[in-house]
Amino acid sequence: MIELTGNDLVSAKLMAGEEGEVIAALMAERVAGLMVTDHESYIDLSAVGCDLDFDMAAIGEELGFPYSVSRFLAVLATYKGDIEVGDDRVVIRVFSPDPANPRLP
Amino acid sequence: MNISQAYDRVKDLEWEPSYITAEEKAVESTRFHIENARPNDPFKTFVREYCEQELEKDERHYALLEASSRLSTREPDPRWMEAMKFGLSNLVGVEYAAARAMGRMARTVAPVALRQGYMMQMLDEMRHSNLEMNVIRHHMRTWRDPAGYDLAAKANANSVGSGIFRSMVEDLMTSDPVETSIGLQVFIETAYTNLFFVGLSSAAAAHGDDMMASTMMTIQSDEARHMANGWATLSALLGDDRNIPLIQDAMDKWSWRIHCSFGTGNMLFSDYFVRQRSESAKEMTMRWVMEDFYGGFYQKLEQFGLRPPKFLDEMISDLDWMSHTTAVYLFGAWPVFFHRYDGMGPEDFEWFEKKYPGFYRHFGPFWEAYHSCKDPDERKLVLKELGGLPNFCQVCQRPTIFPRQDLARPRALERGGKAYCLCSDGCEHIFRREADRYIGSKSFYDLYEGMELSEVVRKLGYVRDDGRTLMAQPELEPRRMWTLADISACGYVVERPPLPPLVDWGVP
Repeated sequence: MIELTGNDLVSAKLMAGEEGEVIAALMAERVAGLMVTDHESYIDLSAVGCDLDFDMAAIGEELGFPYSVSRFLAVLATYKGDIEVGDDRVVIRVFSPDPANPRLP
Repeated sequence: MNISQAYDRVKDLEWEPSYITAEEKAVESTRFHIENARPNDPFKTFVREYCEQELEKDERHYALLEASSRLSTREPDPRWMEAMKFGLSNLVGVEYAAARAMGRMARTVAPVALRQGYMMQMLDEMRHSNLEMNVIRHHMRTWRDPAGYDLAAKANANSVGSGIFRSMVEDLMTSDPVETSIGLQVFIETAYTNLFFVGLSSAAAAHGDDMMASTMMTIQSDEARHMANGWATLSALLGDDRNIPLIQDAMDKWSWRIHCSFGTGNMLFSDYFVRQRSESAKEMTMRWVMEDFYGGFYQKLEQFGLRPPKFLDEMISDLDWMSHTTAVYLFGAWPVFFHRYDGMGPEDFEWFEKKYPGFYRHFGPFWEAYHSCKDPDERKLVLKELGGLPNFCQVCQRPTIFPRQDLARPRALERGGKAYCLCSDGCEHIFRREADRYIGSKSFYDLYEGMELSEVVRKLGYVRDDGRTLMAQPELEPRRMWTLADISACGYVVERPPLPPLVDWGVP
């Protein structure tokens, strides 16, 4: 029987386009070690062992217009990790459930 | 009021009706212990926010569709476009079934904290079905050969190849409602749709099918919420130790079930529906499913007492040959499908040999036979030349030739005086546990045994408007298209193959 090897990869895949590019550039500045890869239809932002914290105010600042979680979720194609959607930010953390309280990883 | 406050307030509005019992309200019960769960919905989506988000997505997506309808941009690749007749036909059915499953789950088992998320997911699945039907409609209007796109919905219901997906979603919809969540939200949506909708969107874009690329991406942006629904449900279950063996059973079954359906589709699409290649289907599956899902997600559930899926070893070793074996089936049985085929050539062989060492030794003879049987004037059907169709698995509905014909270990089990073919240890395990769920399905041979092949094609309805030319053709630009008369002249009568060895119920 193969034993599974765990990993702490965290990623967000953003739809290709102006918003995705601006967000990717901003996150590359903010997250040390972030790997940004262009896959034509989407942009992959990946990091190991750290959070991806998407701050709508900061993204809006870069884009030049107010930005909302709803707009962000329209370009977030998928993610890997544990996501928490707030009123003004979206955070993707390393998936690391706590056996003592699996409901609040 | 911000969303977090609204989420808490809505949960407080939950009440138990006095005019019906809890059982009457739930309609169905579950064997899982979820009654005391207090899960957390990480997306906290309400109708107002949901409509705002989906409007944003739809405006972006349909703007592309509108522009694409008015403007002639680049010519999409015909290999991809023809294969999508089969691909899209299956997707529509899967999405619609998922919508039914989610409505059922919201009605029966969802804790109040997740009910809103489940209901949004039900609407999402309807949206996806509509999006895919719109792509079919768009391609029907713009692609140079619309035949096949025009009956995609019907073909989803009667194509022998689509049976792989039909059987899976029908199993999903009729399972214990919580088990449905594990199959749908954990295995389909967390493990496999990323690979399909995100990974393959690059292939769609590379082959000039901007509509499909946009459709896949806008669908997957909803799947992101569904993944969160899956984890929220699972995390609620993991909090009760009584659920662990029940979850393990569901994990063992659905990991294999989705490997045989969505996994098979992914492998076929990624290796055989594309011309411009970057990663092989095996590499994509290893990265998106084995590393991301099994390594980054499933492995971390082992601390709760869960073991790796029972058939994980086979799932990984299958990847060496799965796409090629699927292609032998799909290409070999081309008359009973509804698109034009682009047979593999020297460039494809070279790439496959590099990615799958030994490919040509095992599959080269099939492709040589395939290419020698394309001309209707030769009166040679590859299906007949290679000995006809094999048996089909009663559980997964794939032919019993996986992972590779010479490695396959088909077997049969008797139930009620009738023998049922099974393709693998995984499907046998599933059949043994709940045989009655699977014996009602009629096989290809139950429906068509003894019929000459042109009668089968006519019965399926896969004939063009002239009433005599097949929708399917074994090459993209044939000198002359195959007709029912050509098929009839080949003299192939559907014959049920001999049964594989019978195994005893007492010896699993």
